[in-house]
Amino acid sequence: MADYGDSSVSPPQQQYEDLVLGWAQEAIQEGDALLKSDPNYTKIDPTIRAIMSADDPNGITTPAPLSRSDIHQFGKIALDLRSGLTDTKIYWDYKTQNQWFEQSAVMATRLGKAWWLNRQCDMRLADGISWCFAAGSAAIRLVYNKEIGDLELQAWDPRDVLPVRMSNNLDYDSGFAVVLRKECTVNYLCGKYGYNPDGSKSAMYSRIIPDTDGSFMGRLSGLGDKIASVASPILKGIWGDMERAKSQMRVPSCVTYTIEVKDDSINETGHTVLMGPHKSDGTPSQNWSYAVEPGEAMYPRGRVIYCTKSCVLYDGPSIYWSGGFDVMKLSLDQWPFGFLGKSPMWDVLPLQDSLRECFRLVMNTVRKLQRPGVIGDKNSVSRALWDKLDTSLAGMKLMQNPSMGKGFRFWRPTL
Amino acid sequence: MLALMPFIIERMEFVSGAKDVTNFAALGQIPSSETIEKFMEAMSPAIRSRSRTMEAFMRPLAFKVLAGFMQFYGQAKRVRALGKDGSVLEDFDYDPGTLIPAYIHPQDLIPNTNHPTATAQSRGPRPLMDRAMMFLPMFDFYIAPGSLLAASEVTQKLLYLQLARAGMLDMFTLLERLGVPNVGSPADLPATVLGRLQFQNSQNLGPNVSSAGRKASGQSMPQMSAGGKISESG
Repeated sequence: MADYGDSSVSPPQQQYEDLVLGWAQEAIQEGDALLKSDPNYTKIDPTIRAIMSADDPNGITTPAPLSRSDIHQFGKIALDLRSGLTDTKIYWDYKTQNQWFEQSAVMATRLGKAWWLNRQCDMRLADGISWCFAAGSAAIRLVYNKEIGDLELQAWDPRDVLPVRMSNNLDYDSGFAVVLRKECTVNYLCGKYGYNPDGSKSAMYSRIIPDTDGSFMGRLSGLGDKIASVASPILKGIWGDMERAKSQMRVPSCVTYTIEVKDDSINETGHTVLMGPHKSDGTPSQNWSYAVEPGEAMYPRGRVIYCTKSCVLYDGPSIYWSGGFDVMKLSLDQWPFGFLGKSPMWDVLPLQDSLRECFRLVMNTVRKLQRPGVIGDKNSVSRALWDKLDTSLAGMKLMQNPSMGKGFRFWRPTL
Repeated sequence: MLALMPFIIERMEFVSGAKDVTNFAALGQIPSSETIEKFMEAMSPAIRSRSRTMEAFMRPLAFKVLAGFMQFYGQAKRVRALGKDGSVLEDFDYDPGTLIPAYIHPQDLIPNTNHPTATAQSRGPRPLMDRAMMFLPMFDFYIAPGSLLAASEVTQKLLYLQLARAGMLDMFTLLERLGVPNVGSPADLPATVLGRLQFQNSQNLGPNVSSAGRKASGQSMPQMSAGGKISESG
């Protein structure tokens, strides 16, 4: 994930945090509503199920005597399309019109090719293409991953990247904000944001509340830890065992939101404001830290809020020089009628249903050929014989008395 | 009923464009004598549209990647990745170790030169991020329309071959483009095509075309016969 963890921004005040979280909640609802208004939003899940060969996308349970066989041509077509469109060459060519920097352009081209290979960007692009087939478009994000010390390409489910106040359907950049929704374990968040530089737990630790677990226990965990820490080592040990037992049952997690906003706030404080981490002498400690003079824009390259439903983990400037949002929309068939674009697989979805029907009809007929239906006259066929009659048996022998009735009549379909 | 199933499958492949992609990909499998025109014909409107969309997507991505290189790739990291080619002159200016020139703002430079004014020198370089904002727009990402898919690379290879025959492209760039391994790189090999052409001429290196047989047209890929003879004339 993008590294928004080393900010020197102190935990915000409660009133300010409530305001930010309230605004964030509105933005999330707005973005979610915009995506769900797309006419093809509801086709995404059935398409994914069909690609993954999940059984019967219509959810109709087939009776046992009928064939449940399926022919997953849909998945094969998706694979063919994806492999065809991801068989790309490494084409990375920077140019400059300034002759003094031609050497830099050549070097950047080589760096680009090396990065593309080393970071397996072709695989990430393939993930993006997969999302295009399932959802019409993909959200591709470029972040700096501090753990690997390199730029990283990520493909996101477009349903988890919420555009806010869009001016057109082309890209996220045309909107006022974009919200990236991701589920994280509470342990991860606590590890990253819940400790002070000296190793002690910060106030943030107990405010990171799981929202996909038994939330009562989740809310108690921070309080319990505090009580245990001042009560006795024994109580602390017991509490630790409870925590372990709980984690064995389920992993507490919560949804995080990375909100990138085009904030045009001006520094009206009358003095210089330092944005991003700075050393004690006022010099920037990161290459994205900067000073804002009075009257200048506070967030020239955008503002980022990283939060959960319960607390703000980071609120400050974007760490990237490139400006704009760090997420881009990839849509293979872009149309102006919807934000998500159109997946080529959506036209095929009803045909897959027809193919399945056809295939099952054939298989049911084969079953009937193997075990044809039989009509018996109760006057000439005994109940005992009728009960053990199985027309699929090879060399089946039946005895009947034709003078007492019509006997057996077999019914075989034709293919 | 049995005939209906192949019909549905064929329709599925046609409607989705999978058939086009399969046909197009087949052309990229080391062709024997396919012409440029055949490639262009094989690229159906649907493939062309999707290829162009992906190419258009690559431009903003490439810009962000370049900004990322300038921000997060110091000299040490670049040298680690590319060897001696990882350094540029800007690594040794008044703000060493970064790709960003120490003086890039027009007010900081003597007109029509790359040298800082005395005022700028006495003040020192502007903040790195401000200079990056001036420097980044000087670069463009170039990608030829319809060229991203690997199957279309054969067209590019033929184009480079033609340019090399015409003496407009050096052998090092040609061999790189053709993906020939172990080409090597002379110590003083320039980075640009023009520089390499001059280097090639100064070293008396160059293509050696056989005068025997019909003159090669470069319209088709070289073919090897069963006896091992290579023909360039199709």
